[in-house]
Amino acid sequence: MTTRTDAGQKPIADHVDRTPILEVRDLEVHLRAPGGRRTVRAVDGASLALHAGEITALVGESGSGKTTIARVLSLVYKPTGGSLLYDGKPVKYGHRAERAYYSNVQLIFQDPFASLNALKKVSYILGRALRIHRIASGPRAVRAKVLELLGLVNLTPGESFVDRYPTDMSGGQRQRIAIARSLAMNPRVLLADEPTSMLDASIRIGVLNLLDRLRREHQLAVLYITHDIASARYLADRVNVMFGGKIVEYGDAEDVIANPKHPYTRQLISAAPDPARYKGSGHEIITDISDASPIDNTVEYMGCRFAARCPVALPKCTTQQPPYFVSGTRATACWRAEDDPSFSETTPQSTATHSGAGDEATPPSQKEHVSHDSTE
Amino acid sequence: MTTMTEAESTESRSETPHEAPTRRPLLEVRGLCVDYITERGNVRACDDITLTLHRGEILGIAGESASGKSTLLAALGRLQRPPAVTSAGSVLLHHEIGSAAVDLAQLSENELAAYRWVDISIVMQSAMACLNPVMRLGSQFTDVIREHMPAVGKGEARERAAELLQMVGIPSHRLDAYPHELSGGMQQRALIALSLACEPQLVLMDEPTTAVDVVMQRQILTQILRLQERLGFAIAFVTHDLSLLLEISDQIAIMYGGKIVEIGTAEQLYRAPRHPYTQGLRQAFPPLSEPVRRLSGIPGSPPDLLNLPRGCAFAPRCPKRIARCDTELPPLLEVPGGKVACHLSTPENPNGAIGATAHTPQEQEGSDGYEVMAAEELAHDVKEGDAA
Ligand SMILES: Nc1ncnc2c1ncn2[C@@H]1O[C@H](COP(=O)(O)OP(=O)(O)O)[C@@H](O)[C@H]1O
Ligand SMILES: Nc1ncnc2c1ncn2[C@@H]1O[C@H](COP(=O)(O)OP(=O)(O)O)[C@@H](O)[C@H]1O
Ligand code: SF4
Ligand code: SF4
Ligand SMILES: [Mg+2]
Ligand SMILES: [Mg+2]
Repeated sequence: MTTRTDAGQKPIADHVDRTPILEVRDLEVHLRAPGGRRTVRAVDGASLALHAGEITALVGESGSGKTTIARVLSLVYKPTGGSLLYDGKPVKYGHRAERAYYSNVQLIFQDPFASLNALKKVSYILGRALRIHRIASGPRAVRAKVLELLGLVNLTPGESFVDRYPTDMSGGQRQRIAIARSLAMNPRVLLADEPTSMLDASIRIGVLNLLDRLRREHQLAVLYITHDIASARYLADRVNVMFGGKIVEYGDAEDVIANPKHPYTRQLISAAPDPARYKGSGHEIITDISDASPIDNTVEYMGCRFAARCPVALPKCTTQQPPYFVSGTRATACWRAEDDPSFSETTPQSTATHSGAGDEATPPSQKEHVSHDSTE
Repeated sequence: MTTMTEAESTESRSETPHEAPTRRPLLEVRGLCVDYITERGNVRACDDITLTLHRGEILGIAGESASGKSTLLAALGRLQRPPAVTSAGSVLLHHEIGSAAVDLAQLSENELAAYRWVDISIVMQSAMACLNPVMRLGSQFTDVIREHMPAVGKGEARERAAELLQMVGIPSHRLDAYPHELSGGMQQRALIALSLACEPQLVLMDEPTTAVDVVMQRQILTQILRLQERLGFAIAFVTHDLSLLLEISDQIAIMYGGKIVEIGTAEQLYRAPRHPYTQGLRQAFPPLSEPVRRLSGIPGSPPDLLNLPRGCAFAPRCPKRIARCDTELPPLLEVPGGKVACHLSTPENPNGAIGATAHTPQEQEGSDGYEVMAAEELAHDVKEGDAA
């Protein structure tokens, strides 16, 4: 495990024997395809743990199942297999339990335009969240707390923002308001599903720096979902690489990105634009990607689901599913690691506490949005 | 407009010495202005644009949203629609080597039709918006080819369509498919193939890969570069992703508030961006292979084109501004390896804005501290690529 000493200044939290705040184990989410009879294996065996003061990234191409995991963590979908644990205990569903859960686990949406009510002033948007969760009552206390929240997300002086509408703010400012709202009830976990993908590049870093500061100063556990692996390297302590519903590689962010083991992780990294490979640098990238199509997740795979796209596939890859090969705090689900002396095979994870839910996940129509509004 | 004349007079000598002598201009844009006539007033989305695009080269155009990138790209091919109007300037197309250039800005719609597809074609971000949903792919190709290259027979047009599709990795039996039967990435590649149907010399690409995944993006970019090598067309490529442009462009134009604020080679913009806005943009993308350092992005918001500051449009966000910046518009001046519009950069001291001390930016929104990249820091060694 490499420790960062650079300006990213991330302490690698020592969590070996700490219980994660939030965890999914062997998660399976099989959904009914819209209108069809086929089952979509959106998530097909994924484990992930979020620890206080730590940023965990989940990266992978679109359709790999990242948002589905976020939806399980925010109780929109019930797992069809595997378990969801909060403080080590299985999560309970139902109105009361969920309300308590949401005061600790908050989701930040990708689109700050859609997630804020354009007709309401900032003071109302934040004040409402405070009242609903009974964090503050009475106009004075609420206003003081609203200003405090604005300060937390660097919208200062807060007085110049309270009377504004989301529509007269920039995308970055709106995303900060959305973050401020999620912080209203002092949550322990922030789930950020591509929080900067709708923002201009020039202001993305500001939002990432804000998340970084919040986890440092408030010991938040953050799940950072992105398809931008460079931003995951910048922000996260740990990174999980997802492909076709499975986490195919995980470990210390710097370690995984500097020295990727799984062929998919390698493809993802070599495909990402890198300014250091500028034209004329002599390091121009020459990647031959013959197939970039996502897998069909309506069929069950006997072998490795990356096999059809894998440039180094072995004969057994199409017939035998690779187990996790582990080395220290990182792991890769690839047969190629079998011969790597620093990696050793794990015994298949004990299929921990299955939730015993039905065959299909709760349809999204029942609970599409998790926000303060849904907890009223 | 002294600056424009200056730029014009030196243009023919502007090529930096290391460049091959065979560099020939294809499109020369001079003082181009494009306005949108709206109820709120005239929005000048492109203001006094001067640049030269050479044969077979890639010109990258970067900037944040609403900076005028798409407007400029469309104007390069006179492809803009009302309410956009070209209100000043010229777009000289040297469509044949040695022959006189035509000024696209002076042509009527009918006259322009002769150059579309054959000399200049465009690829947009949304393939579905450009492909005809009720027409098989093959017919869309043959229609375009037969309309613009009357000498080509039907069979030959179809053969050409099949060949073009194969060049972007789409099997030729897909000629019979409707656009919606293709995946998003395939649609985008089909559109690129279609743009090449009449062997244009210039392909305008407006964020052609923004909607696809990074792996797909790489596949498409590799194919574009390969096609370009084989067919020799030039590309003007618009994206907000400066990292991507650094990888593919011979020349990059940085837009801010409807103006070009810096033009330079990929190397120049990577090693020593001169305009504080370009410096900010370079700071906005976390590195993939270099050491991670704390970045700051660019606090503040882009300017309102209907209410631009009197001086430099970047002044309200600029950490290096000086008194002059609020009142005087900095002209785009020729400097070695490019052009830059900043009071701190002069032909005598082109790197004036690189070492300049940063102040606190005026706008505090989202400011997590503004750290300045010094030239030495920028010129650090490039780590050996380890992509397998
Ligand atoms: N409600 C749903 N019904 C059916 N399929 C779904 C539903 N939600 C997501 N999926 C499918 O599950 C897979 C994973 O989707 P998602 O979690 O959104 O991926 P990501 O966020 O990584 O892009 C995709 O194939 C997607 O089409
Ligand atoms: N059809 C239109 N009518 C009025 N204004 C427009 C129109 N299209 C673009 N604009 C304005 O022109 C400016 C530049 O837009 P655009 O060229 O699309 O920028 P970019 O491609 O860099 O995002 C923006 O301020 C935008 O609001
Ligand atoms: S298990 Fe086989 S197919 Fe899968 S990534 Fe490894 S080498 Fe490739
Ligand atoms: S130093 Fe002045 S002229 Fe240069 S970019 Fe900043 S504000 Fe503009
Ligand atoms: Mg998603
Ligand atoms: Mg655009």
